[in-house]
Amino acid sequence: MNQTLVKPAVYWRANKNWSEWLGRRGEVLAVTTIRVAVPELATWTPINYALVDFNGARRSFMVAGQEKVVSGDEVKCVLRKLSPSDEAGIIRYGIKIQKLS
Amino acid sequence: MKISIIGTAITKFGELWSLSLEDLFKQASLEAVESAELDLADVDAIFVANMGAGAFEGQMHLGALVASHFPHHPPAMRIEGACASGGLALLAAQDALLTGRYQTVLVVGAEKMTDVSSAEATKVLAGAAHINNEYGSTFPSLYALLARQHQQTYGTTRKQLSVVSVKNHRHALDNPYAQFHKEFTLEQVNQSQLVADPLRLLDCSPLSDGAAAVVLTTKNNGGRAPLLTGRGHGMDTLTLADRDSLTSLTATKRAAKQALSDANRQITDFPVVEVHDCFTIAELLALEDLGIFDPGEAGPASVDGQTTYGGKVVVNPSGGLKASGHPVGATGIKQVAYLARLIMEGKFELALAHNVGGSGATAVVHIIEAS
Amino acid sequence: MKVGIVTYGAYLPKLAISAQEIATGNGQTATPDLGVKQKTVPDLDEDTITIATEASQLALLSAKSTDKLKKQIGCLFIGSESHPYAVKPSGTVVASALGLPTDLSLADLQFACKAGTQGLQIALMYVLANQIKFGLAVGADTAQAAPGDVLEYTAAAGGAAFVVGTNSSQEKILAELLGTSSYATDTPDFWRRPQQTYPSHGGRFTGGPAYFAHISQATKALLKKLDLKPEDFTYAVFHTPNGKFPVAAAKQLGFNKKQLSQSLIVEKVGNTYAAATLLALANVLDHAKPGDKILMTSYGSGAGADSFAFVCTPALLEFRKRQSTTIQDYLARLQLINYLEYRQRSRQ
Repeated sequence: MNQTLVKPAVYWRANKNWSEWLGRRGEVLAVTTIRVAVPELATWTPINYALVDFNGARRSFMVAGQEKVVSGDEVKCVLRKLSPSDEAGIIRYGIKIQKLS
Repeated sequence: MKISIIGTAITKFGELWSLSLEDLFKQASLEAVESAELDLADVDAIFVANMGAGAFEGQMHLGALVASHFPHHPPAMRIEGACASGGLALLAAQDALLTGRYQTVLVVGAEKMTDVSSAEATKVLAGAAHINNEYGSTFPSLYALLARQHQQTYGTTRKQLSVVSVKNHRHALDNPYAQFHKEFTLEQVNQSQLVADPLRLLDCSPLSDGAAAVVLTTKNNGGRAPLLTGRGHGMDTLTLADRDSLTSLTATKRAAKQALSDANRQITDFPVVEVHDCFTIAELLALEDLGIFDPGEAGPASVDGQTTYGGKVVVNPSGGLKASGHPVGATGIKQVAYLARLIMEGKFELALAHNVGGSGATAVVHIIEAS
Repeated sequence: MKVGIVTYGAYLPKLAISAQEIATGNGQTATPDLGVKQKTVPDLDEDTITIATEASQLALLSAKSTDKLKKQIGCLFIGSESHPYAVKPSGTVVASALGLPTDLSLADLQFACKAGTQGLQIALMYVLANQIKFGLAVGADTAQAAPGDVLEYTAAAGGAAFVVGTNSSQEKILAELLGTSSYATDTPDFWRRPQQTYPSHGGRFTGGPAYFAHISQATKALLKKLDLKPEDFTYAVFHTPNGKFPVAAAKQLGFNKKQLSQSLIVEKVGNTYAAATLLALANVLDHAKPGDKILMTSYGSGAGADSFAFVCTPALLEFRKRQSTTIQDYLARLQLINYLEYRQRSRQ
């Protein structure tokens, strides 16, 4: 079963939530570096993945690009591609976190 | 009504090229029934445990797949709870027995994981998490976050993680079905390749094929078979970020409390346990959540030799998931089967099995006693 | 009716590569003489859409009342030559991420490096026509060039977003539009067919008949329309395909080096294509004073030019207090990467 292609309806339900997160700020609780990733993310490893506290609400997100964060960093939510775009499919956009410069 | 384990089967765990998923189910099922000294027709119902056959190979309808090998076509169903599928199937079987509708049932779990690439297997296993809210994560990465939190809170060290792997590999030497019969040194574990920092290759249980089965009955069988005297089922949020605690698995605590209450036991009564060490950190969490050690103490205790023969409790005599292998659907049943055999061999009188699904959303605890 | 810019925001990626590093990586002995020292590089997961979102988000956050303004945005035009889809606009993704109203006039534009300013002109017209209260126009690009091609030294990534409108109860015009004029002819200096990864160009033909002719015509037409002369302007912004062309164009038209002082970020950023002129405008606005007049002429291959004249108002100083990130801030945080890291990010 090919789970890696983005299904139109799945993308469409997900984009309703982006504006709720864009720009939101939080603090990194813990972060790991994924060196063996799911197949569609293989070309992007190593990928940093963090658990973040957004003023009491917790959520985990990938870190933008190949940027690094550590526990305690203040971060904000940005829109990025969640996986490399292929030639023909819908591009998987979504929320990632980035250290506040 | 007492439920006794009258038959057990465990296949070899490993990369089993010549055995299909169906072969594994068949082998374990027939062996378990045979070991119970029964005919196939004596099985009133079948409970099948499997996580990912739909994703690995497109095969669903597993209850029917297994029941096809029984000429009388007994009622059969498949139960899934990620890596806790085995434990959950045992619960469903016991519930069915307690209704009185069935007297003797087969519980069989199997997983065929090695036909696909490890990258594809990673994707399938990631399905144990929240596919939207935890997109991008892998199964090891979620436990890595738990490890980081545990390190930050208790100062858990690299050595305390590594010693779990070393100990389980040593235990596996006594388990003929184990995937690995190879010991590792602390150095080797410390220096194995990083998978999701801080977890390394030798912190992680392998991809495995395998099956395990037990035959349970409420019929009075002359009293020599071990009994299932306690069971617990705990749940927590699927998403790791939504948990109340990031340094313990509350689902385990809930399941353990229920099981111990059933069996009227304290955790200190147990000389041997099989816990869900999908990653080394998971064993430390399990030992703390079961109440065997205080929070933050399982690591030091492991280094101190308290989790092996001669210590406070023998943890994972089979080699655990790490060294005996982790065919996902089989594990929960293999734990109970393995402990039942140790009890039948007279090595222990009381044992506990702990099985977890995903990053701790489901936990199942079983207590087995000599009759 | 007075119309103009009420808020704006820029975005540059964090990564950059030096011209020297590109030369070394390509096995070339010297860097070409383009007046560009380094160029920005988008990270693996960035593209025109994510960049446009960042710039627009910053523009909205720098407004007097972000939530009120958002609800009144009536159009979104994004100009780029690297829209991620050939069919399905970048604009809808950006609008979704920003949470813009769904009552929106929206389309993507392509006209090489003038697609961003064309969007700006269209948004201004929607406001002037009283069709909308506020409009959002963005120029954003993640420009690609064939490895080894001279364009590789300048093809960069960035975005700039401008919200235009009239003076309202909270948002005030910080740069008022005095006038705008455009010029377009069929001049094939630089083009890309749909199936091609990289554009093709006409070498030296991209100079005289293309860039210089169109910049000149559009600028002269605007100056004539407004009855203004080059010396009336404090700042001049000309499209920056490299660091040399805008300086030559300024000289041809009678503008001096001082007027160009804040519009040559190309030296440290590279050519951000549809964002280039708008980013230069943003840097000028980051430094300008109330009363300063700004002349801006973009150029798009194929070919055309948009010319604008703005005058800064006192509201610009109030705006500056709300700005969290300026172009100079983005420049300060640039990290240089090596050739291997740059190539890794080329085809994502």
